[in-house]
Amino acid sequence: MHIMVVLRLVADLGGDIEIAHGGKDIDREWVDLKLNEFDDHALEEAIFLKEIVGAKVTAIMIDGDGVERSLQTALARGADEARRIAVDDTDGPISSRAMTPVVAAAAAELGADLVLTGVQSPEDIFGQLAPSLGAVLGWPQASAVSSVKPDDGSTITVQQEYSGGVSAAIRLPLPAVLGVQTASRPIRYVTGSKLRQAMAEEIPRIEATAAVAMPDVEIVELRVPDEAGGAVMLDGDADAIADEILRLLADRALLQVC
Amino acid sequence: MTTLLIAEHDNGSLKEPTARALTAALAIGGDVQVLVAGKDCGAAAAEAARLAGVTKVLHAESDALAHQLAEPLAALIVALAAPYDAIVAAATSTGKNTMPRVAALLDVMQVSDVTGVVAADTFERPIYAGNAIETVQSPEAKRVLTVRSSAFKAAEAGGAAAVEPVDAAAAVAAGSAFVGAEIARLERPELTSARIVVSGGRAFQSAENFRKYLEPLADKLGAAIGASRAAVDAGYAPNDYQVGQTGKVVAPDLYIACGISGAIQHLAGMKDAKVIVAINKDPDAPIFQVADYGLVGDVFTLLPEFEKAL
Repeated sequence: MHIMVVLRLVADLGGDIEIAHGGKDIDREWVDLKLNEFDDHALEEAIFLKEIVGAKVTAIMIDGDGVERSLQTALARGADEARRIAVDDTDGPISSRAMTPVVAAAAAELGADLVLTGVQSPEDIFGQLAPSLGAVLGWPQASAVSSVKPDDGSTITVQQEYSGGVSAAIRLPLPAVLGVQTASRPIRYVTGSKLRQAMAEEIPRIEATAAVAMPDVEIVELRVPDEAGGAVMLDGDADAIADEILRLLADRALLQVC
Repeated sequence: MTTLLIAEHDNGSLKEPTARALTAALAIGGDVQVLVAGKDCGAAAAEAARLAGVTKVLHAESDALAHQLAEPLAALIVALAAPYDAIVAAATSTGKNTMPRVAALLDVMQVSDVTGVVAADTFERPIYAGNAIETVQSPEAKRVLTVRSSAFKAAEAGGAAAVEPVDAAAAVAAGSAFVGAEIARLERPELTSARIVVSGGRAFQSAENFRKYLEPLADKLGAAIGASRAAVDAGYAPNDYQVGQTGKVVAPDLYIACGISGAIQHLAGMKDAKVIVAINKDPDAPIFQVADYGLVGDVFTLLPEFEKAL
């Protein structure tokens, strides 16, 4: 099995969002980048699969600032190979949907038979990357996956999470694409010496063999929603404020005590 | 202009996000037809036909559609797509699995998580984990939209649309196969559709305390229990309790946040609740910025008083 893991760097926004001049994007001048949390889980699941059944793991990223360091860290974590993919200069970061053709072409060239990526990212809360990769490659896919079990080598069985505590086991023939929500095990700690060793590795840069999908959706405006005015604060003894809040909620017809 | 709304259902009945997504579909303007694709899903199709505003229901039956897996469902939608100007689905687990596949097969850009319809081609949607709102214009001849159902009211019953069987041959059972469902036994209302949610954070200090203090309160209120990421990561609450996680956007009438400081992901998952009550020791906790009522104090003293007073 050859697993390709797609990693993305995303803006580390914390709580503060500054809208850039022009009102169509965030101000990226001082924004730090970090590895998308769900992609981190996808990498962990890939390495976990490698450990239990044997697999080659290749981590890829669209090239840009900070990418080499992230891929070196992936090597230190246990990935066998890493590639950064150069795409033509574009304005700003490439969205998950726009990178789909590039990533799909890389999967075909590297000969991957399983593609793992994070189920979602902050710029793609919906989680388009895995399903659209499945469509472009013509492979089956599952989103919101929380564990991957290899079967006999030609199929895998995944646990797919739905809301409300419902999950389903889905069997997919390989090759397949998965959007990973949580890895089967916690993300491993990488020792300083392993990291230092990986930092010496140069990450091969390959040219994209497909064009970025051009966004034909135009951003009209980006704004930060109005902050609420803050809470009405209730002070006093525990029993007094408990009574007070119950009265307030009862007045608004919000309570139906069972 | 004609819109195709993809119904979410369990074959026997429609799921609530469908009626909410219908409201968004109607706001776009023009005719709205509903696709109910499944196995033995006649009852769900009949229910869709009774929703006010629906002009026609397309009823597709196939073994391959029994579990609404992405590959057969997306293939069917693409086969039916030609006459429609917009294809709309709720941003649910099924919608998330299927619609990006549809968009990529049709080679259009999906507009995801729509929370507002400004015009037939202009929509509002949250981005950056819900901390900003983007207004986008989609000039596509065919638009693929997914709708954040908590942002729209459910359309009411009162319609009488015709149900028309459609050819489901495009839905081929290739690709993934459904092996089995695991349903956690729900003793309480389901988190994403509950009217009241009682949610706990790191302040509980242990799984025992989390249960001991929150369960009696939730039981008395008929509420669902939620948790912050910190509580889930610390092992106080199971993963599927987490509010703000994938798909876990809640918009109940009442949200009671107990010992939750209000990390940005959590706030994004619950700030649409009608009334928010926050209990926290720290008067500067960010949760108080979005709360309607704030109680500064210890959950271990306040919750028993609260429960006693009920």
